[in-house]
Amino acid sequence: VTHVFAFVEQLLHIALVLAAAPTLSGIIRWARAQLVGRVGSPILQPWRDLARLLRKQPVMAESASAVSAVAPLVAAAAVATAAILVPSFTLGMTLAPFADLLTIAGLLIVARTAIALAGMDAGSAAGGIGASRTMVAACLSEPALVLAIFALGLLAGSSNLDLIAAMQQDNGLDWHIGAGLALTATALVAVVDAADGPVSATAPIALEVSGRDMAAIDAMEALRLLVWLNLIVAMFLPFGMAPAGAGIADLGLGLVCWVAKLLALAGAIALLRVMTGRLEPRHVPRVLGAAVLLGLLAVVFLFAGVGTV
Amino acid sequence: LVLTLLAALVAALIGLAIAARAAPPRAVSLGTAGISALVVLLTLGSLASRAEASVLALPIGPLGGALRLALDPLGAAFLLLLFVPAIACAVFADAAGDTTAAERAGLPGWLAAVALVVLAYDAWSLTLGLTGAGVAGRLLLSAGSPRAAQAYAAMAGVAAVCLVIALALMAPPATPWLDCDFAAIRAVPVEGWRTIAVLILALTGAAALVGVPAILQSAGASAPLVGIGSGIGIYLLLRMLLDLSGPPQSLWTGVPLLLIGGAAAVFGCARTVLGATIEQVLAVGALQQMGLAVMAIGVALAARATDLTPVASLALAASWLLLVTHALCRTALLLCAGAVRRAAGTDNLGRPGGLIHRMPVTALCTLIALLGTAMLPPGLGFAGFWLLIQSLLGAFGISGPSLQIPIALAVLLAALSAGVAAMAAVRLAGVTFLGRPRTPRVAVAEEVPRAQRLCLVGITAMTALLAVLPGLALLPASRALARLANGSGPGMPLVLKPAAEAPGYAPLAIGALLVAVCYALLWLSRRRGPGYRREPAWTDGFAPPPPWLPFGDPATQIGAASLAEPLRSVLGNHPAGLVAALRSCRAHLHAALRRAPRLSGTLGLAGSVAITLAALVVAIVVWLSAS
Repeated sequence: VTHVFAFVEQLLHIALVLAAAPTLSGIIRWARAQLVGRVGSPILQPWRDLARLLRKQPVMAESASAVSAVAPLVAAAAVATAAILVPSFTLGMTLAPFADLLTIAGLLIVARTAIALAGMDAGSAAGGIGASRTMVAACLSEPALVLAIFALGLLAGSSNLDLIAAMQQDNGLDWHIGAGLALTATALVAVVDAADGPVSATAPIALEVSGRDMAAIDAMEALRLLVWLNLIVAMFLPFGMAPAGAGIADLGLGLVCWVAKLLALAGAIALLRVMTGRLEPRHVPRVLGAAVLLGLLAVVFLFAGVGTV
Repeated sequence: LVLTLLAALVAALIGLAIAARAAPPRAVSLGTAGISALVVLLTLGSLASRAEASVLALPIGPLGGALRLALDPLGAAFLLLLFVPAIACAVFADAAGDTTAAERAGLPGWLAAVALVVLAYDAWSLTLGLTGAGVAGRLLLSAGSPRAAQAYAAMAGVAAVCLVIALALMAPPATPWLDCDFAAIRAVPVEGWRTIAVLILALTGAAALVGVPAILQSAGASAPLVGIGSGIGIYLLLRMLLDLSGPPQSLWTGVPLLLIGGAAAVFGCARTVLGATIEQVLAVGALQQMGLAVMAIGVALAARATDLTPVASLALAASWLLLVTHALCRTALLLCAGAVRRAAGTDNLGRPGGLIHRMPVTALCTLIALLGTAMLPPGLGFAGFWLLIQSLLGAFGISGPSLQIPIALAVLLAALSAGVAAMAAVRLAGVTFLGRPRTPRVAVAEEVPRAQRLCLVGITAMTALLAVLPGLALLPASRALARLANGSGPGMPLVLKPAAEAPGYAPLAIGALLVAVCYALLWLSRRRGPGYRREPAWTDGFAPPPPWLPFGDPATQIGAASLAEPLRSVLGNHPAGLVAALRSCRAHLHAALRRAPRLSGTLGLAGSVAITLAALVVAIVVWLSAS
């Protein structure tokens, strides 16, 4: 019975995450417009864009190969797989044993890699520059993220996201300083990885794809932002999340808490984007270098926390 | 019986090398492939029968000594690892076109020497194998790059010297040197200053063999020497430090391996992402997997010293998976690189482009193999990387800051190298196979012949299969790794996990999920709607190219150098950074390597043999003074 329940939770999670992703990016866009005094597009505008793009005939460059057709799908599938694995409102879903943080980080890089390849496929200048930028962001974010995962893994004894979230729930607000530093490092990586503008993951092929491939890319971008928010929530703020094998009441509480946390984080992102403007490619190495140092510090601060065997 | 048959096959390889001048080229390369396949079958049989180690003494040796050969689980696992890619290399040698007799003799001779190194059961046979590898490697490289050939022979000589002296230090006192086989060496533990000396010598010897890729930058025949040859270095490292050193050593012996391996991994990646020719990029990139494997061996040493056998076996499984990645993916990539060089007439990364249209099979195989070396899930390399990070997590609590700081640095270096490897993979695949042709010659490139294509597809399919079922890759080595870790073997059929009850990394589940989501997306988006319309690429309003540039202006595409430019400035501008230190190391290494061939060049063809004879003399002197 618990297995069936976990499976139902998993299906509900998939449906909720897929529904939430474009809505959330619509909310952020709307809030951002409101903050600078514009009316902004309706919150459901991303859904309308997706429907419109799915109807259009896609155009492909003459020099492009099958990579251009396959890569957007692969990228969207990689991010969607990560979204399926990262828990949202409850722990202990069916796929929880596979929700390894290193794997999730790897899947996000797989998506960037696929898009970089698609960007180089047509042989246009803009695509190549975008591929270069997106891969620089990917390859410098990996050490920072792995160090943050390593710090949390030391605290939880595993790199599995479910176990880490359960550990953070047990600790409550009694944070280890290493966890705080790891949160900062992860947040910096998230700022770069989920950024919009010239360093966004979709930049290399913004000019190359159209139609349904563009829809896949847009959906992937919205989903990527949600994955990062879910990741930060599960890694560091799993308060209210229903524990494994919880009842209906706990699930309801978990859902409410999840939506509240997402809305709060979406507001924070809108505010951040208004205040700092967009991230320029030349800032990326500096931001990620700081993240690497913070991640290293997080591991170093755990020296005191982890005894010797 | 298996050992006798293997010895006969080694003799057949040597015979083939000697007869290469007279025999038709095709017979030599296909004979080599056939013998390699027989070696693989025999080794599989011996692994399946779970036979215990047997010893064979052949009456070949100085002063009435014997050449002792043995096949234990570790040797069998490595024999399998080295001879599967050997089949592919031999089949590709058949397509190499006009080759000199020396080159044709090189491959079977070198493979025989490699088999001898793995089967060696005493210092004499090990010396003979390494010297033979030096001489045959020199022949193999003689036509492509004389400088690299000389350097290879010199490096093999250095490795032989170091390892023979190390064995002499490990030998029990008062045993005649020629009678002292590995069993006698294993029986006495290494203690005191000898631990340090053996560690330094074994590391130097292995570095000479693993570092070979760094010097074989533009040699045409580098596929076997890099893809298979570097594995020998790791084999000897495992043999010397974990097997022959007897009971577990002290804790700190792992630290130098952790740091040297990390530095090598980052150095290899930095060179890969900044290199200028395809084979150079691929050859130096081998240092990354080798560096990560050396790090894993360091973790295993530290964990074994504190009786943490689960962590030790985890680390050894990581190093084995990285070696399998290297042997399969790196060999496949180097063979693809050779195919591109023949088809496109160039090895320079600034010339090809758009080859996916002309060579679709090669392009697909390269992409799959690159997924393995780029350390991305669900590739084969990621499984090894994942196990390495898990073993570092397990080893963090072993000891105080003296081990924890190196481990934190090791995590940083491993992750940085994995990230840069992904960028290097995009750069190589994007510049070579995607985009538009940069030269007219590339626009008429031909796909490789059918036998070679089948071979490429086979080795890539094996990579993909082992990537989703890493337990299958661990199976041949499980007994050997269990023995080295002093514990149980890695029993991880489907899911890689750090402990029996813990959740882990399930490549099969991740891969299945990816495919399912892909299929769902495909169904969702392709269900309706028109197909693609082809238009000229949008060039930001730039004027269309003139008629004499049928593929557009190639210079408007991003090139290999400009793609890596942001990273170059990042890596170069870090003050007091890792890369600044690595750069000065590189300069020293380059200077040393530039001197090495000159040295062996002045000694002539017999140079490496002379060096090894000198090593024997030194070893006997050391041993005499020790006893």
